[in-house]
Amino acid sequence: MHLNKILKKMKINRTVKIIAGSILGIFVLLFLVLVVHIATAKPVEIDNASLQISRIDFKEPIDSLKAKEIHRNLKKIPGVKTDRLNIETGVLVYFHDIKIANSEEIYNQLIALGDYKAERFVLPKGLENKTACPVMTEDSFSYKFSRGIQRIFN
Amino acid sequence: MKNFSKLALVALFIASGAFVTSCNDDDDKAAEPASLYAKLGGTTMVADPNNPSQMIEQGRLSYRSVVDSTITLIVADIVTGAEGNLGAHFAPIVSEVSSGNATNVSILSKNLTDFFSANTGGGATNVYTGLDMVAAHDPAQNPRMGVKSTDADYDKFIGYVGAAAGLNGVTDPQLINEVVAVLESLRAPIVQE
Repeated sequence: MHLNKILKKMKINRTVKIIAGSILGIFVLLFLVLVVHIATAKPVEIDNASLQISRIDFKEPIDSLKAKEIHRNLKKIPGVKTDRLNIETGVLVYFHDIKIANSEEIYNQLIALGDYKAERFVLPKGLENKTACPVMTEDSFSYKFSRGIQRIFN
Repeated sequence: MKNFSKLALVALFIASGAFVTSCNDDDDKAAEPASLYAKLGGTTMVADPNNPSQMIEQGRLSYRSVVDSTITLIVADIVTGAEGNLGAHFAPIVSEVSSGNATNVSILSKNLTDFFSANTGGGATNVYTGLDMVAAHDPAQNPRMGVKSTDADYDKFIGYVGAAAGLNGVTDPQLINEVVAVLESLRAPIVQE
């Protein structure tokens, strides 16, 4: 009778061990799948991620000769990629690599090269921290979660 | 009777073979017109002019060039505090505040390029992962939208795209009409005012 009880108890212990082991095994397996998935996930690739658009407003009349001179001077500044100057409005918009030079540095170098009457276009306060449409909502849980995971592994 | 059964069986076999062949969609595929993505250069790899060490599909590069020129033209027309120049939607890209490792303008350029490439025949190699068009242009769902777009805003945007296409050598009226048709198909979800 006593032996029967011991055998029964051992059987229950064995069942509990098998269940616990299975749950642990599944958990470890799922965790490994998660780690492999995160580690091999490719970060979002952005063409020319450091390319910035900036603008300079000229406050003097610009003719075609002056426009060519501005273009030449702009091309001498490291980091400037492409530019477009509207002669009628005196607005210059250009793309530059922000890792090489920011808009203030480029503006200062251009003015040093040509002594132009011009102003750097600066965004009014309140607009500068916003991002433009259409990207993922930064307040959302999915955005914060994926940013957190990406920061760990990338 | 036995011979008749054999003949019937052979006839049935040939007929079913002919039926299967006629249902094959290879002919339909061959007759399919080229997609807009293919007409703009398709999957031919070329050097990226912004980064010559990288390669890029010509179709994607065509879209990206037009997108970047469109952004350039819009930024050139922004008048601080004035209405009707798309400043409320696009001014933030001039800011040098970046999102992670990418500038705001590079993210916008990527999103627009992905969207147009993936939806005009370049879906095999381009994927758009942003918000759907209704959500992306609704300030209640997308706080960065600023204000809702009007028909006049959208007309102006299409005008900018047309001018940008011209600046990039896309002057074939038929091709421009196809681009405009794509943009017009998006008017309903984007214009919400």
